[in-house]
Amino acid sequence: MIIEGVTFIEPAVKQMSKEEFIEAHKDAFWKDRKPSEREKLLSDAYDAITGKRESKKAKK
Amino acid sequence: MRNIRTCEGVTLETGVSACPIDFGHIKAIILVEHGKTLGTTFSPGDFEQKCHADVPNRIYPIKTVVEYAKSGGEPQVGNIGYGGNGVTGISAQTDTFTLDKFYDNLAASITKNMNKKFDAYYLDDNNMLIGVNNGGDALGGIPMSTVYCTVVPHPTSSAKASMTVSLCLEDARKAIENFDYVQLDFNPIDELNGLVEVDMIETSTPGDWILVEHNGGMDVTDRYGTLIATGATSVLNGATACTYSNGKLTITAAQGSTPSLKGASALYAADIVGIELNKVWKRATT
Repeated sequence: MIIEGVTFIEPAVKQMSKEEFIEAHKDAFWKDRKPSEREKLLSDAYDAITGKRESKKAKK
Repeated sequence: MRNIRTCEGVTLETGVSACPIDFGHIKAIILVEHGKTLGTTFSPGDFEQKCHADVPNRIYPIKTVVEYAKSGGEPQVGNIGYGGNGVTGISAQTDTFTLDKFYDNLAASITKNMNKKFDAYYLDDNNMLIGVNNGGDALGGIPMSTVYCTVVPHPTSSAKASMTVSLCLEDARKAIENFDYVQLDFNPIDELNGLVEVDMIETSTPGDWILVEHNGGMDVTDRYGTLIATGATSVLNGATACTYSNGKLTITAAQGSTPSLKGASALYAADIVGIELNKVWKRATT
């Protein structure tokens, strides 16, 4: 999945916890943005890749 | 009943084809693993795909040939006592092809493999694919006992740097007896591009990588970076994310892994042509 110019390799990402995912990528991409903004983007990316966002919406 | 034998007579056929062939100049050599063939059907795109296939189904093109010289392959005669001459065999044959220039990558690779047996096809400028008839549907390659190159890596006062590729026929007599060819209805020469070994090198910035040709050190990251980044899911091993910017691939490694490019067939499926990973040089961590 390509998010903001970064290709995330979904099978590999799905094997990570959200914390691991954010920690592994927060200093690698989008360095022109604030750390908090990067973490938010990564959090959203993780949710999109793992489908958690959809499942939360489904529950609502 | 005892085993019997039958006489496999050989008749002398001196007729000519209804459409005699004028063979053209050889333009390219296609090596295949010994015993493999190019198959029975040929369509535009097939040759390029085969250049990127996984070994042992890969083909190895060598071009552009600008001259051909045959050595050996001549009938040998001898006599016994006061008897007349008789053929004792056909001498070993080497086909030597001069390439249009000296290619250091190619010379290095052929030399590394010169103890390996290959089968060879020749492609002429009439799009005639030349090999041998093995009795099957597919045109066979001519078995070669060895393939080697001779290089003049530096210009002389009268000639530029050059190289020749010599193919030593495993059995010159069989190659003559089984000489065969297939007329292609398209020109595959532009598809016949072999692979170049590249190294993945981590820069001084951890996680930033460049792609460099193994021989000569040409940085080719800008040629392939965008394709690798967008196709990362299918072309990278040991990675979780990738992007390309300003001549660098930024790759995050999966836990306990070192990123690497997948095989040439996977790269080809993502439109990355002409390269194969040789080695990954990960920056030493202290």
